[in-house]
Amino acid sequence: MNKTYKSILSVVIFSAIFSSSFSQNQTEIEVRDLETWTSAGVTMKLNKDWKFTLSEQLRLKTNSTIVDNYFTELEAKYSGLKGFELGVGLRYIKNNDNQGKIQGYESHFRYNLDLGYKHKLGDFKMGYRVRFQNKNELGVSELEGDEAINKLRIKLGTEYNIKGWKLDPKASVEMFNVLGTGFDKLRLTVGTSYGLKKYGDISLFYRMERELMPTYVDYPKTTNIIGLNYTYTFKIKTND
Amino acid sequence: MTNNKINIGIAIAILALTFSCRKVITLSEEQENGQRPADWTTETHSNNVEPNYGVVFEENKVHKIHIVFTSEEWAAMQADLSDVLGGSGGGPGGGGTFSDQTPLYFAADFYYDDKQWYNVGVRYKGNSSLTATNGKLPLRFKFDKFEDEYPEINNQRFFGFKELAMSSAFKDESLMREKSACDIFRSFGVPATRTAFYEIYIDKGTGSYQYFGLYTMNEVVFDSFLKDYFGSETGNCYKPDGDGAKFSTSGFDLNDFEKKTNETSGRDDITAMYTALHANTRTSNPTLWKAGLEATFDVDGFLKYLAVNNTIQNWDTYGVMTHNYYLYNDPVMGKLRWIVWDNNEALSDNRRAIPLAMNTTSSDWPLINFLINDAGYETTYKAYVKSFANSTFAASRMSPIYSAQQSLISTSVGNEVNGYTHLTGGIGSFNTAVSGLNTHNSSRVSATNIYAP
Repeated sequence: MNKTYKSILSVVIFSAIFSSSFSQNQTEIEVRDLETWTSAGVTMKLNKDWKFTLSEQLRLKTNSTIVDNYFTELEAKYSGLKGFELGVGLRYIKNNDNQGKIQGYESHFRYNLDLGYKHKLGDFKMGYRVRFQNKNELGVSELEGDEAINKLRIKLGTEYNIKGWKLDPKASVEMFNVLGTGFDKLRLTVGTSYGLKKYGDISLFYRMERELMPTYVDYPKTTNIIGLNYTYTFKIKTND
Repeated sequence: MTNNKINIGIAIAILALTFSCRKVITLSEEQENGQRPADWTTETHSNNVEPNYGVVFEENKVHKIHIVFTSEEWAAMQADLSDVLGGSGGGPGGGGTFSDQTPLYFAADFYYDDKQWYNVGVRYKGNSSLTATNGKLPLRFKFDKFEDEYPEINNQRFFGFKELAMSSAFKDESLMREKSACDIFRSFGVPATRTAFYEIYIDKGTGSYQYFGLYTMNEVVFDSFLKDYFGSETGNCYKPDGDGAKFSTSGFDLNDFEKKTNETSGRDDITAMYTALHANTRTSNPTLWKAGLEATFDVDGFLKYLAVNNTIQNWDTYGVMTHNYYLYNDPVMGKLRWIVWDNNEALSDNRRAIPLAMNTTSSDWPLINFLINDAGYETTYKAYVKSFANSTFAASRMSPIYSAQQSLISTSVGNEVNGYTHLTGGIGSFNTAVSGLNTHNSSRVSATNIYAP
C-alpha cells in the first residue's frame, strides 16, 4: 500500500508541474484549480435580532500555492422580522494580480446588501438569500478602464438535522448574475459546522464553482475550494 | 486491517485531490479560433501576431473602414460628447485649457476589407478638434475594450494592433499635414508614428452608411510604436499635459506626466531630467551641466526634433502649448527621448510658430531657452536646420511627395459632404491648400538659408 501511495503521490506532483510548463507562445486556458479559503472572525450578538461580524480571510489559488486575495470584512445582520433577515457587508480586499503587464496587489472595495428568509421543513432548515453586491478597484477611475461590477446573487441553502450528531450536513447552490450581462457563475457547496461550546464554531466545506460565461466557450473553468472557518461568538450582556 | 483502511482513505483522498488539482490546457491555433466569431483568424484578429504595418499602414492606397453602431450606442456616444464638451475644466480653444474629461468608448462592429471586427471600442478623441461644428471628429479605436462584456473577442486585435487613432484633418484643408509632418519627422530620424489615409463610413444605427470623410490613421505610441521604433516597450512612456509639461520651475508637477507604461512605478527619470535641466552648473560649469542633462535626456535627438519642428512651423506643441509630445525612457540609450504627436497644425504659416532662432522663447520653456542659449547646442541645432532643409525638406523632394498624395486622396476629398468636412470650398480649397504646402516649403527653405547659410 505504501508503494501505491507513493505512486499516486508522484502522479499528483507530476500533474501539478506539468500543468504549468507549457510554451508561452500558445494560448493556455486554466480549466480547473484547487483553492483554499481560510478565515477567522469574531461575532458580537448585540441582542436576539442584531449581530455583527468582523473577519479576516485568506484565499489561495493555483493549487493553493499562491495568494489570490485576502480581505477584511465587516457584516451586520438583522433578523427580527419573523424568518426574514437583512444584512449588509463591507469588504476591503487586497487582490494579487499575477497576470498581464502590470502585476501586484490591487485594492478593491466591495459592499453587499442581503435579504434572506429561513424556515424549517421537517428535519431540514431551509434558507433563501438574495444579495446585491458592488465591487470596484480603488484608485483606478472608470476612464482608466475600471468599472464597478454589480452582481445579483441568488442562493438556496439547506441543513439537515441528524439527531444525536453534531456534524449536521449543509448544502447550498448559488447563481451569480452580472447585472446587464447575465449569469456568470454557479456555486455548489457542501459542508458542516462543529460547535466548540464557549470557544466558538469551526466550519469545513467543499465548494465547486463553475464559470458560465467563459472566455473560451468550450472551456469553462471549474474551481474546487476547500474552506475552513473559525468564528468566535460572544453576546453583549444586558440588564434584562 | 486498520492500517489498510487508513491507507485506502489516504489513497482516495489523494485521488480526489488529483481530480481537483489545477489543470491547464493548451489550445492549438485551430482550437482557439474555433471559439471565436466567424471572421476571426490569427493573422487578422488575434494578439499572437506582430502588428502588420504592411497592411494597416500601406501608404499607396486610401483604405476604407465601415463602422456600425446600434442607434442606442450612437446616441449614448453623442450624449457623452456633449457632456465632455460642457464638462468641468474649461472648454476647448487655444488657451491650453481643455476639458479634463476623456470621451468614453462605445461598442460598434467594424469592417475592413470584407472582414468584421466585433464590438470594437470607438470613442471621440482630441481637444480643440472636438469642437468642430460638423460631424467629422477625430476618433480612437480599441479593439478589445469590450472583451469583458463579450468574452469571445478577448484580446481582439486589428492585424496585431490593439489601438489606433484617427485624425480628422481639423483646420487642414490639404488633409495631408498630419501624414506629411509625421513622414518628414521620421525621414529625418525624429521619432514619430506611422500614418495612412482612411475613408470612414459610419452607420449610426439607421441601416445606411454616412461618409464621414478622409482621416489620417496614426498608430498609438504606447501600443505598437515603441516596440516598432525603439525595439522595446519596457521603458517608462509619458504623455505630458499641463503646466508641468513645460519643465519650468513655475508649475512643475509630476502629475502632469501621465504614465502610459509601467503605470505603477515612479517617475524618477522625469525628476532626474528636471533636476539636471535646472542644475546650477548651467551657468557655473556648462560642460558639467550638459553632461548631467545628456545623461538623462537625449539632447541631440531633441535638437534634431527642434530643427524639424521649427522649420515646418509645428506650433501646437512644446514651446507654445503644454501638450502633444511623448517621452520614452529608451532602455537601449538609457535616457528619455522625445516623440512627436498630433501634427495637424504643422506645415503652414502661423504667428504662434517659434522662429528658427528661438530667440523669443522665454525661460518658462527651459528645454528651448536653456539649450539655445548654449553656444555648442546652438551650433548643433543650426547644423540640423541646414541639413534638414537641404535633404528631407528640400523642395525637390517634397514637391513630388505632395503631388503624389494629392493624386492619391483627391477623390476621397472630393467626396466629402457638408456636415462631414473641414473644407470651406470643396475640392477647390483642397487644391489651393496643397499649393500652399509647396509655397510654405519654399518659403521655409529660404528662411533656413538665412538662419543657417
